[in-house]
Amino acid sequence: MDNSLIVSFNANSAADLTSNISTWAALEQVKKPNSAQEATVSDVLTMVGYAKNGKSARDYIQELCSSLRIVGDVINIDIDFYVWVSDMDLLYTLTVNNTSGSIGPGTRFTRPTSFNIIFNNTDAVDVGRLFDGTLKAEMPFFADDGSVISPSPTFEMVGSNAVLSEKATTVLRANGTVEGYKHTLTISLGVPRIAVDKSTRNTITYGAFSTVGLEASIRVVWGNCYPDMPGYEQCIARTQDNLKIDIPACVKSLLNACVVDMDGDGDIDIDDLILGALKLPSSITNITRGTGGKQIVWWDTCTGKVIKQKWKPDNE
Amino acid sequence: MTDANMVIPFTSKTTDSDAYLILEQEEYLVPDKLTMLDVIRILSDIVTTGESTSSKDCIMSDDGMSFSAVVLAYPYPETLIYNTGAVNGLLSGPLRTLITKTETLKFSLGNTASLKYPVHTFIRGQWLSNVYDVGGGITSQPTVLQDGRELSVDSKVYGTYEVKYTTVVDVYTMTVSLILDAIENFFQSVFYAWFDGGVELLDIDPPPNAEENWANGVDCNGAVVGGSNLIIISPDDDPYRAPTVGPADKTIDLDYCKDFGNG
Repeated sequence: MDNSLIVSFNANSAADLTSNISTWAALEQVKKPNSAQEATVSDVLTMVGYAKNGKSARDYIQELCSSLRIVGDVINIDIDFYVWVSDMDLLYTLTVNNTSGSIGPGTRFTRPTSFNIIFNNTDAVDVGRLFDGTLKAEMPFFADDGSVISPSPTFEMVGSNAVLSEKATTVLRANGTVEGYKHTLTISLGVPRIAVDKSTRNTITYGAFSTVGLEASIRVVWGNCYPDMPGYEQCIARTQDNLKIDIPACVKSLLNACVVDMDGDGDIDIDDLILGALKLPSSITNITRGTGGKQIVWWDTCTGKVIKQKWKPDNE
Repeated sequence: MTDANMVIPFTSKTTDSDAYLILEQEEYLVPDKLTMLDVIRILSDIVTTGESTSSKDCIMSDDGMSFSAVVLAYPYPETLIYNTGAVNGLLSGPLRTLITKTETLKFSLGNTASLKYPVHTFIRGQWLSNVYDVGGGITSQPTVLQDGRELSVDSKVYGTYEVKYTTVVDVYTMTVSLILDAIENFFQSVFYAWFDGGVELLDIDPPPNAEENWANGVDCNGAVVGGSNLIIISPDDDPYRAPTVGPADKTIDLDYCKDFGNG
């Protein structure tokens, strides 16, 4: 599987190769919203509603956890990340250390933003990305001895740096846009499948994995030379940046449900799938409807698919 | 083993020479995550009444547009005159109080350690463990000297020392409101203070998930801001409810390997 990606652009000029020693690229993982990781009161109520309606509450978790896609027998984990660059024409190479991972092509984007820039007795703060917009002072400019600097220092963006005309302690508010590239790392895993020999009760598990070692790191390397330049083959990457991917908690939680040993016999078998099934409707239905019976739903704790349903009248 | 109650003499020498101010934000008192008790309360409502109106207290205001943060300022000397200001915030206070701190300091084969806050009154100091010298042997518990926030012993040792002392703190309440023209980072705010000799900034942490919740238009319970968590789970409103009369026992049996397996 291809686990590297080279993104190439034309060099603006030969001068770029020699003069632009301050080129840089930086990686940042796009964090999934906390709403996909932590439960709220609303989430609990919604999951109870799912269970009452004969759906698995797990479906709701998976709907919120967009990083995890189960397609047939393949579990795909999608992790978006940004590549912030000093120049949108910068050549960079991405690699991932996970052999099950592949990196998709980058999408150039411009996004509106606003944020504070805090100067603590300094004259430059690197905001770490290409920012285009306005800066506004939010408080006086203080010297290190606590006195107010007058007249106030001037300020501007120089590359990715917010720069003051002299050292000060202050806060600037930035309003504008940031520009960069967005890629997706996809880690593909097989859905664990279990075959059972009914005569011997021997089980064969395949496609299994452990979430304990599930990790990935991405490296970006950028150069100060371009493919069409003489001596390109000798080009040595100037430097690099690494990003350890944070696998979202909801992904780990859902994947952990793919390997179950609920009956505690040390084996993962079909009984575990049955025992591991959540029977939420069996209790909730009885209580809220009062009469009739209960609907029992068994579902695959890994994929969320319903394996079996049964209506059980109260008089049984 | 050391007698934990044994108090070793603690000698106060001089005081700090330079003025300073330590700023801190007090932790929010409301838990930021759903607790087991919250879940029990919700389920209890559903079990007993079929519905739940439970919600947990949010740090944000009901309209989701503001919150209050508590800022603690520890001046040294206590007579320090300082001014305060806020970026995107309204300040009230200060309320000056004397609080007691207990700190555990580790001497790791060194002869100095630092307290976190300025000392108003020393109450007690004691070694919590055996004290070891650089050779690894147990040695007698040395006398600890205080010089401002610095503690020292006359030789390099390894050991744990507990100090109980009082410190003066000025308590401010800062009300932070939504930045109306913000595209993101809606609730960023900064507390600052300056005095003859220095300036300090404190970046205020908004309540957990405040930014995301505002962007999604919900409160800390996941309910629409200004709305309600009320979800009525009654049979009449449940379009997918299981049959209530005379259901036949119907079982669908699927073979896991055949119907869901690879083969």
